[in-house]
Amino acid sequence: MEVSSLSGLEEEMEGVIGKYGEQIFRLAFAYLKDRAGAEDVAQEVFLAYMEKAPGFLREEQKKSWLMRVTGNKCKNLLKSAWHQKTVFLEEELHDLPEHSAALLSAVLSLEEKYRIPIHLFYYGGYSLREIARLLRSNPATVGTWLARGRALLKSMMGDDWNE
Amino acid sequence: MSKNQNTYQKAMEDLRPSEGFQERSLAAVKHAALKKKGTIYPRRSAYLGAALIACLVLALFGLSRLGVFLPGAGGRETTPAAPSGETVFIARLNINPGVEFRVDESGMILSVTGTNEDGAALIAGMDFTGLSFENATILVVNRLIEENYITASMVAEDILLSVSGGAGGEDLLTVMSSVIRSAASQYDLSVETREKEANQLELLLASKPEEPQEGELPAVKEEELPLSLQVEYDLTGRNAPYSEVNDVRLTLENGETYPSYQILTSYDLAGGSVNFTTFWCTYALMEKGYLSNDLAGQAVIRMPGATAEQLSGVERLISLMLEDGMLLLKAEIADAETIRICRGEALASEETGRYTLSQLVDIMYAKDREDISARQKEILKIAFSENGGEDFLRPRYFAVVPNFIGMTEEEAAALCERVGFVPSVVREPFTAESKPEEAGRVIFQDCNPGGTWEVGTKFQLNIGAAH
Repeated sequence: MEVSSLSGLEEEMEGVIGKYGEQIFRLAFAYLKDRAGAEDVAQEVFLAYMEKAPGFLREEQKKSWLMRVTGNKCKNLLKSAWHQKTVFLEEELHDLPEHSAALLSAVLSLEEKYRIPIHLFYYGGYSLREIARLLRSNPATVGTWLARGRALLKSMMGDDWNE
Repeated sequence: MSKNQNTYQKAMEDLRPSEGFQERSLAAVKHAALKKKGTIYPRRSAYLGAALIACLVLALFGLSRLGVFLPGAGGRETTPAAPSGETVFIARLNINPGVEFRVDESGMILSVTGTNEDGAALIAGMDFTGLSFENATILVVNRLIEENYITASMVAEDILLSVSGGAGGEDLLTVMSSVIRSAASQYDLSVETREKEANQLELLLASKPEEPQEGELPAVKEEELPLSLQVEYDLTGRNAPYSEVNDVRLTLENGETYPSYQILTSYDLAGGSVNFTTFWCTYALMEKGYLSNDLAGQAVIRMPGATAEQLSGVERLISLMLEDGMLLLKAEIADAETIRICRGEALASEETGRYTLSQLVDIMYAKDREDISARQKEILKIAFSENGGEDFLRPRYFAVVPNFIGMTEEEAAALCERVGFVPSVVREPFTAESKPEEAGRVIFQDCNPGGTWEVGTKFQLNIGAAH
């Protein structure tokens, strides 16, 4: 099996980082509410991908592996004592347009079990079934979480979150 | 709903990672690829990366090609077939100790025996029951490594593989040779394959000859040597509070400044810890002749922002290295951020290490680091003090990752430990996605089967939910 050099690895990683880097960062942010932490997690995910990823066949599998590993790493981090003390700071969103910041902080104020399905559904464009698989849950449960999350957002934001 | 989808999506897209996120990530990944074995090894970076990819490709190849012997690899049929009890294949591996595997139709091991005295001694006390052929091969190859039949320093060794029995025996050959190749790649051994007869393979393992380095500068001519030079560490990296060197700049006597890679090609000095970078930088400057007995002026190492501790560590390290290289130079701390190297006294003793510095660099990479002088031990100890220190001096062993998919939790954990890794079992919750045939069996492992990892590495095994 001929492999040219380090540049082959570089090319592959450049592709993954370019294509999924921001998605991974944003999912991690949705979990952690912390940009620096989200960037660190993203880097860990890239390293894990390089070192441990199973040989992928399809692009879709690659993406869901990355998303699942991102979720796992964030959950581990959230469990750690250090992270339990950190509080979400509005300034994390200071450079965003006002409307975007308001919408994001509303979503970020939701419990994790509502927040993550909302993120995956509205930002990731995943179906209920796909979210269920990523979060290792039932599509029906995910549907319930989504509905409650949406109701909460509506009560918080009123007409700004219109169904 | 679509309106929300767009607004949340748009709001999320306004959230961007900080400037240079992609570049930094790529740099971190590259750095890690170079450092995989616990060290950064600039000179061999090219093949280190290649070895990494080789593992990946190998496993990919293994998965698609050898589906029949990797339970679960082909899809969801994760339950290994029960041994039918009838020998269909006999596979032999001989590297002087000889081992014979009897394998049934589904690729499961029936028995493993030694074909000579050494072979019997090799597998004494090993339990192969219920293993796939591939996993049994991995156990035997790991034992060959432990018993020093396969080592980094082997000159040339033949391994003879043969298979007899029904059709499909060539797949067994491929399994054996890919496991051996994977182990060989960890020790930088080249593998040459010769097909002897049908269903017989000869693998020739040999240590690789030093490859000519790409893009190396022509040797520096004596008269072109600068009489003095200035080295400046850039400690302003993102990880500034930690001691990571962003880059090293060299200024020659004529005042021209270069990033290190332009002068010391093939030495990647960026991204290491201070002491490790110092080791490489000093070594490179000595090897290229910038630091030699011809140094008429002085070399100045500037490290703005370094702590007193870092400064004295660097000074000690450079002193030891100059001494070990038998140079009539000395290093001293000039002020709070500067170290000066200038002509020193003749050495009190002519004693030098058992190895030259360039051999020391090879030793850093090898398994056996016992036979170096006390001074050289100290050099390595300081060089690695921020990357594990003493720990680096211990011998390292590697093993090949088996395929655990489809095994029961107990089997997988036991195999994982037998091979030398640490299992970390995660039980999946029961969901609508759970399948009865996956209950209690490994459905996900976070590392590629066929890859080589240091013994003691922790792997995650996800177990399907009970029904």
